[in-house]
Amino acid sequence: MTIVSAISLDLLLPRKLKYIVALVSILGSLIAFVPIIFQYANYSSPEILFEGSYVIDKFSLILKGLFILVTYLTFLLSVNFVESDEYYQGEYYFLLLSSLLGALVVTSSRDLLTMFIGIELASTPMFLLSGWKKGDQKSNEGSIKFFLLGVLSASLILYGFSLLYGVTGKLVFSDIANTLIQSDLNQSPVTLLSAILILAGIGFKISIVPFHSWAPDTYEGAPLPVTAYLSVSSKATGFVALIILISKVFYASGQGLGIILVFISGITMFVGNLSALQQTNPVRLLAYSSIAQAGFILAPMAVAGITGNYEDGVYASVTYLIIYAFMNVGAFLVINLLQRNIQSDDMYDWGGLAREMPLAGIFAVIFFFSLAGIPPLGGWFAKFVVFRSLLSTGEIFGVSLGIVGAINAVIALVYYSRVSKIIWMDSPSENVKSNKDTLIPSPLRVVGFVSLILTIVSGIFPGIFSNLGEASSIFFNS
Amino acid sequence: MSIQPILIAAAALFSIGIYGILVRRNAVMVLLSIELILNSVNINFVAFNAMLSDVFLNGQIFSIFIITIAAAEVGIGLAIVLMLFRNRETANINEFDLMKW
Repeated sequence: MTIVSAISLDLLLPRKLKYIVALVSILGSLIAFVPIIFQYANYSSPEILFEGSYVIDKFSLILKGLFILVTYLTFLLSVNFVESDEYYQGEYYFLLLSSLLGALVVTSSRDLLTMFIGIELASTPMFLLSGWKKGDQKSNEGSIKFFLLGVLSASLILYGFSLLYGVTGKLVFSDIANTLIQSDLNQSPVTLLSAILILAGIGFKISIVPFHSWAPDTYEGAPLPVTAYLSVSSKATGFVALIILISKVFYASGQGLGIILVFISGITMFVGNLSALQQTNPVRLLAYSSIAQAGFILAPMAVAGITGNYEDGVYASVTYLIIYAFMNVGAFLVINLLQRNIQSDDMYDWGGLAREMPLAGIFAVIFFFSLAGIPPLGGWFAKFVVFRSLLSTGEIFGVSLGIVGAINAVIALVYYSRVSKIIWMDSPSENVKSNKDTLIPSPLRVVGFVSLILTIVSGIFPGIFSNLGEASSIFFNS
Repeated sequence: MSIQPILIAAAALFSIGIYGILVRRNAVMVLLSIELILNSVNINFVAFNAMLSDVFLNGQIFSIFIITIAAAEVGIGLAIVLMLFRNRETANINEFDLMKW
């Protein structure tokens, strides 16, 4: 609860002064991180509030820490961006903070109402933020696409929730699961229908394949820091909701759902990677790559639905989510840095940029190779955990999904390494002028080094992150 | 009173809403279709609440929350449509095709 109150205090302050706002938000998100560490260090047993609808346990604490840290990095990414144009600043930070609050609520929510409000609070400010560049038609267009599909997805989730409530008469997840088991409704068509509706709704948020079409457009239109936030925190919110729902409500009826998820996850990887191969716009490339990564994060949960071994699935998904978050923020930082120098939507114009900006070039190599999963960077450990959880089951679905994942890891390496190749080896393009803006502002420098350290440390000492993942999965035994 | 007719009405409203989203070309009409879906959910919740004679009134509370959030969402939606209309002088979602693939 301390976390929530710290954030709400933070929410009240930002409306007052223009320039203090940024400072207050950045410090506030850093301060909010402190109670989380203390709560985690002094953790003894889950703290249950409001008759089981709001629970603070290790799972939620770890993810709260992740969300706060990612928002902190997004703030640092934003400072130079927001100052560079004349739009009013205060609401930018306010909207990002309310989105963060929504994400924090989702991690602790253990009933339908709390979870729905958390999801809405997390996604509604993003509709506005993605249309932040009011005069830019691409930004407008991305925003309306995101809004229409986002609201549609919310209503699909709601229809699923209403069926679940109608079948069981309960709102708290554990009660729903118990009632489903007692009245033997786990395999009934109503339960499956509601599960599919909820999956479709959350599928929009995490951009898995039949529901991914908004993502590249919105990512391209939105301001770059917002895109980074969308592809990391917004997506993670959807995943957290999905993980909680699958392992708390649908765990006994996971079989059918698991098979659906396995297919979705495989198709998501292929569509994301094959579309990313032909992109020339770096932001769209990262958008498709993050769709493909969503397939990887989903895979362990899908297989866990079939085998029933949720502990392992949650562990792999959460570990992947944490590492993915930092390397993706880093990748967006690289694009941000390079676009400050050469304002072009075509990455082939970036030839030889690394010689002008060696630090950005090094960042580019590290983050993109980490996304591709090259050891000793963090990405390899994330992929290793996912493949282990897929293959160790011995299930036919798990093994075939593992093979699909391996093929896709190779496809992904092509376009990730192409970016580094252009930056380091190609000769400078002649049709664009460089701004000679090679200086890296200090907030961006901080973002770069924080993500860099986290990415490398998680690759060399994976024990740290696997502890976090294990701690978060233990809770699901109950 | 049996609950089937109410549920069928709600499901019909839901389907009409989905149909409207897919077919309508005006962004404001799409927003209205989304409202239809949200209201079908409300009907569902209230009907289930009555059927189960839930003493905690969970379903009714839920539908009040949905009404509130729907209002906030439509506010944001209209703001975005207004912004689009200023820049493009159209609210036809077929013409928003700057970005493909």
